[in-house]
Amino acid sequence: MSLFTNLNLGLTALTAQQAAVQTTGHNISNATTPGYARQRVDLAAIEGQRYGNAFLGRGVAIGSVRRVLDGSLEGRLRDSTSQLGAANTRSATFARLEALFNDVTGQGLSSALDSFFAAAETLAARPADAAARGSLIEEGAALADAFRQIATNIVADRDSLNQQVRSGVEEVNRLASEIARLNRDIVASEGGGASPNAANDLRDRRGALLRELAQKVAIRTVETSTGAVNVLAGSEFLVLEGTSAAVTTVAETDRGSRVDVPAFAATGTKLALGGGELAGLVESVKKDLPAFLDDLNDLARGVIYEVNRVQSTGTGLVRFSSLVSNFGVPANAPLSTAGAVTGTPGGTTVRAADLAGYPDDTFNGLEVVVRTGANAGQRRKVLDFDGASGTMVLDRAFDVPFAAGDAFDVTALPFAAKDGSFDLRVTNETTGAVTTFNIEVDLDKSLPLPSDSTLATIAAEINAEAGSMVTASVTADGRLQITANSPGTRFSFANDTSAFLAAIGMNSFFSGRDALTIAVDGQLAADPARLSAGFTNAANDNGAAQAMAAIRSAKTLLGGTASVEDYYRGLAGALGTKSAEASDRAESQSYLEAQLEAERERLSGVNLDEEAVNLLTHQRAYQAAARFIATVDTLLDTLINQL
Amino acid sequence: MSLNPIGRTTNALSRDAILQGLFRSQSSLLLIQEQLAAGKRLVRPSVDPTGTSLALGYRGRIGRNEAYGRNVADATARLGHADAALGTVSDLLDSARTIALAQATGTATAATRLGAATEVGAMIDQLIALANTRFEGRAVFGGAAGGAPFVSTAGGVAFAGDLAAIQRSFGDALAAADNVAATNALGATALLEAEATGSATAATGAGTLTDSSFAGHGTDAYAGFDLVVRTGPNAGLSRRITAFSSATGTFTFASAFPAAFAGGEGFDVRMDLDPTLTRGGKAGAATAASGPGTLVSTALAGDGDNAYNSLELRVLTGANAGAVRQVTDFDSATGTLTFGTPFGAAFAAGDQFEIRAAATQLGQLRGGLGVSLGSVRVQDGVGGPSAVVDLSAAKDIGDVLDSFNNAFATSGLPIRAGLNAAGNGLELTHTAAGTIVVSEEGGGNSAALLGILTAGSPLVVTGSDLDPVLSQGTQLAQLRGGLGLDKTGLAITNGTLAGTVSLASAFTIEDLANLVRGAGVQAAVEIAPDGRSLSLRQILSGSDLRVTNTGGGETASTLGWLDSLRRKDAAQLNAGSGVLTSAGPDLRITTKTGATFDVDLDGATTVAAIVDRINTAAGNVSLGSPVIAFTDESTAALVLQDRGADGGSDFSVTALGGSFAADMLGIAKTVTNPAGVDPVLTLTGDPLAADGLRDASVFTALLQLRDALTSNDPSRIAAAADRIAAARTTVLDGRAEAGARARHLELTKNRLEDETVTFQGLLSETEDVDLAEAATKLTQEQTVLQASLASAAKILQTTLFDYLG
Repeated sequence: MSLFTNLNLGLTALTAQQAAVQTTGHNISNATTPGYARQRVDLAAIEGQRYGNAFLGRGVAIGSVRRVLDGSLEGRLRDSTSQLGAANTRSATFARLEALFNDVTGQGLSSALDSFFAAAETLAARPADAAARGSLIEEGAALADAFRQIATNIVADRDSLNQQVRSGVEEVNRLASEIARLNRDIVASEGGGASPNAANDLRDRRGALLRELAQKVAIRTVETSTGAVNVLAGSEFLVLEGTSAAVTTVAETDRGSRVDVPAFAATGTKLALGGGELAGLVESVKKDLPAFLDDLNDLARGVIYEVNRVQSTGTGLVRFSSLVSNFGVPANAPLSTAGAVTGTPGGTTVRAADLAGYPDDTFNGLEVVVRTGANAGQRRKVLDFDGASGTMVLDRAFDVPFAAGDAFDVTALPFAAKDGSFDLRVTNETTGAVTTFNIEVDLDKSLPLPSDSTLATIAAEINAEAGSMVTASVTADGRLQITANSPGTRFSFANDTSAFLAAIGMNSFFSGRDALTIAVDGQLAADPARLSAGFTNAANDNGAAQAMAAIRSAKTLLGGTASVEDYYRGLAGALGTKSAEASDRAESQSYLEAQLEAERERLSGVNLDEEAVNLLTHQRAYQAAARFIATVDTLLDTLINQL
Repeated sequence: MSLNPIGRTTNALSRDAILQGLFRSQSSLLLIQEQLAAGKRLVRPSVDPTGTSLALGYRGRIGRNEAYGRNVADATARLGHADAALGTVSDLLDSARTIALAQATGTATAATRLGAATEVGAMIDQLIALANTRFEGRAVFGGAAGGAPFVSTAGGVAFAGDLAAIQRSFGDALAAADNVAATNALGATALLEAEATGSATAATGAGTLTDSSFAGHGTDAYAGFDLVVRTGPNAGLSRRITAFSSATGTFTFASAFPAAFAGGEGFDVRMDLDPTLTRGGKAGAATAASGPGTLVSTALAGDGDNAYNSLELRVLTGANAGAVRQVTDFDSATGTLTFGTPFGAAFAAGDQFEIRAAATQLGQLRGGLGVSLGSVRVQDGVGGPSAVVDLSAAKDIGDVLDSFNNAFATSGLPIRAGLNAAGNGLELTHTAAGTIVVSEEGGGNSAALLGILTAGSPLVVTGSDLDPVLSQGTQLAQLRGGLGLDKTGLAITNGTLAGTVSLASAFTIEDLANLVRGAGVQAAVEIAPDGRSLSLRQILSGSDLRVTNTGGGETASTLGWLDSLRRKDAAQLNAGSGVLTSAGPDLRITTKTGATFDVDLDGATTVAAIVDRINTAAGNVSLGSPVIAFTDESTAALVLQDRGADGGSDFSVTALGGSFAADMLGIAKTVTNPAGVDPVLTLTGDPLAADGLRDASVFTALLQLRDALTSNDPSRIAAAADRIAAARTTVLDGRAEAGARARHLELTKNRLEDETVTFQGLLSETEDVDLAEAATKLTQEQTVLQASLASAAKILQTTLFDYLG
């Protein structure tokens, strides 16, 4: 026990309080730094010195400068950030879709549909009126534009989302390499775990980067004993100690649209996307946009098909001297063959016992169009057909495997045709005499196979029956062409129970096959007299115009349960519901995030008042320690000068 | 220090909390502002998805109602236009009638009549202009046809329009015509319907019947039809005619009537053209060489036995190119067609042919009632294997045959489906000498409707007669159960127009119609509403339409269009003056025995009815009475014969009670009973001038008046006045029809308006912003925002450092 010892004791107190003041100052400086965890100086009394039976304290020592932080809370916060990133991205996608679809305010697809059908009603009043005809065609063009505009915007949105995925991946790479660099620095600073709190601020920086990374992609972190943090996306390391794995994108095709999916550059393994903005983007591109586009296409196809069925089987003010179909099909393949799946098929091989009996390769190059079951509406190309068993090999497997009994058509036609017939009506324009030729479209699979109509047999039947008046042929690209033989002869069509004319695009109102390609048929737009207002040659026959107007409320979609209007309402309602759901999820996720953020802030955040109190406390302690040293100094003075 | 220090609030935390609160207030404010600016609550579907769907539904309903409302307004205006035109027509008719009545009196002279004729001529032009009234590009009385519906031509007024009802939508599933047909409004056009009536002119046995007035109608002109006896002991009974002798006018029946014919019995030939069933035409090529009597095309195999029977086939290429023959048998197993008359040369493989005919649609069956089919079960013998045949997708007979044969092939049943030999029903044949059981499947009645429901288990199921009606695509060869129609042709005269129509190139009814139309006689072929016969429409007002056979053929006879005195209306006689009768008996007939009987002709509107009245009054049918009446078509006169015992009296017809009927019928005569025995006394009437078929239109009435005035004939002027009165009634009926429709539309308009108001209310409730509510909300949110901002400013200001010295 000596006075000098006491001086030293005072010095430890001064040093400790100085450190505490400095730390307080550091906290105050970083009060608004994102990701900063307040630091605290851990002080500990220095072990006492034995003096007889007593132990005398020797002062204070600085234990460590510690970050006040809850590791598990940080993890939860990162998870929440990932979820919020995904939810926000999807919510934004839906918000854009809703904007495309500005119908609630009254100018959109719904009003275009409304105007189109209203124009059909007007035409029914004045079937021979050029203005009424022109107006229906104009409204048809506006309707087609409305469809195309929405569809084009969706495709553009998809492309921009893919672009965002690509730039998001760049961001992930930057963050991962930064984290790897910090890992190296931390390990070096802390001497591989020897001094665990040596790199507090580097750790804060790393924590902030991990949050940023988590916002892009869902991650798990594991801290090693050396102080490095390994980052896993799914079960693959994104960051391992001081190295990061590069991520790139691979292009996939999903339901006909391009999806850029993040994957590891080295292994090609796709990144597991449990959350984060990237997950939201990929989900939007893969699911949300295509689902809406599919619905829109269904509606557009329904409108095209139903309107064309009326137009193709009606008669305009002028009849045709020559006409070529909009679509082409292989001339010698059955036009459309119905089948049903037998047994449980695997992958790309589908067996349909009811197709057995057709010659091998009959259906090669045609498409399977699914009518019922989980894959309804989807199309796949037939690569090979085995006639003995009725087995087809498809170009691509279905997402959901076929179930036994699922019905489909094998066809090259863009729209459905069925067994039936149509009338070819040849008019002598001089005398007005009409001669009707009934052309059979035989698609009933009469035995022995193949017995069904092909484009070539239909052309041959037209030539055999009406060959003296018109000539039918199949063009090189598989389109049906009919030409009148003499200048005074014109032809038209009627009573098409097979829908063949609409399916192949003979005398159609709309060309195109979906929302992206729908347009008013070029020939019709050029000559409104072609518009079918009636079903006979009588100029004021308004039957077809009536039939077109009736499409509005006829239950033709969704297997005959919904009209065009119903379908559209359903579409709007579903979009609203999904959008509301997505924004609700984003909102609740942001509440959770705020909650966790608050929790972290409560624990790790800087309270200036608290720091002020700490500052005062340490100031007073410092002053006391100084006073103590002065006192010891007085004691020493007493001792030295009095002696 | 605990790890979760609740109560520790950092500066950043309070900042975040404040910011979050501010953001939320601001985004609420933004939505309210958006809603207020748009005036709509539903600015985005996600604001209220259900409401969005509802609003779209309401808006759709309102849009549709608006379109319907426009249709109602347009149709009302159109009907109003028609009504106004008809009102003027009615006034014109009144003036014309006044002229007629004035000029019919004795004070009028040839000169005044000539002047009046000019006036009437101008009225006719005016009438044509009125009848061609257009509203918004569409002639109100023209039906669906474009152009002017009434054209002055060939001394009359031709109707170039049609009788289509132009349907308009006035509500969901509510459509009605916005026009009045020219027939209803103006009485335009008249229909020459298929008809053949007569009365027996000689006593025959029960197996034959003779009417001399039918002589010359053509060999077998009526074979295949049924003859229905109208009066006498066989009244109400009918028999199938198997042969007809054109020389004597004698019908031979498939089976005898119960009673013999005495003479005088009235009868009708039922002009049911009765087409055979067909699966429709086909084009193909011979697949093997064959003799001239058959043609083999394996592409036809499996189409059903007899499926092409009675159709005409035309050869397109090869030695027989251009030749046409009727198919009499078709063997489905081999695809072999057999012809009634062999072709000129044998067939080589590859010779192309075509059969052009429309398939019998299921809607044509059962006299046009149609059948709606489900499923049928066919069993190979009692307890044997069976097949269920789904016919729900079948649209025509071809589909039905294919469905059966496909099901049999798939299930391996040794049964074939085809048509029966008569061509009027189905037939199922067992190919292995087994039996067949046909039963209903799934609680339907398809087998019964198709006439193949079996009672036992027969070897062959021969279906009953499915009784199809005609269609435009029916081949002429299919008519009369496959006997077909003579194609020699028709001679048609219509006023000054005349034409001969050869049917040699015609296959179908449509071809026949085209040929008649092409003859330029202003007459159009139509299928009668019951689908059993063809009618000829007279579309030239003021003109007489007559149809006769040509070239020794029987086409007009078989179609029932043959011009005859019997089919005339009494009003058509005497150049339109008709036959005036008086109340009570009109004439008295005194027979050779001196016996008399009286005949009352009131209400007998046709010559056939007048003949029947005389025959019935003569009581000859039950008593074997001696007097019979009939027409002599060659002289267009009535003939009465007394074939009874000779009592020495003269055979005479005298008028009774001041009736003009006997005179006007040209039979007020006495045949002197010559001395000695003369078993038959014949009283031949004067030839009766009868118009051909004329319509009862306003044009015909005025044209008739003009002609009568020109020819200075008071009685015809008086007759024309009557016609004008009748035409005026027609016009009034037309106005009533237009008026009734317009009234109905008025009701519809009110209903639509009410509905629209309701839906607009609902729409507004769903999608419009409630201003009071929104304003309140806006104020609320503003207050909240201000409070947050104020408190934030305060909270963020204070810190302990402020107070540290």
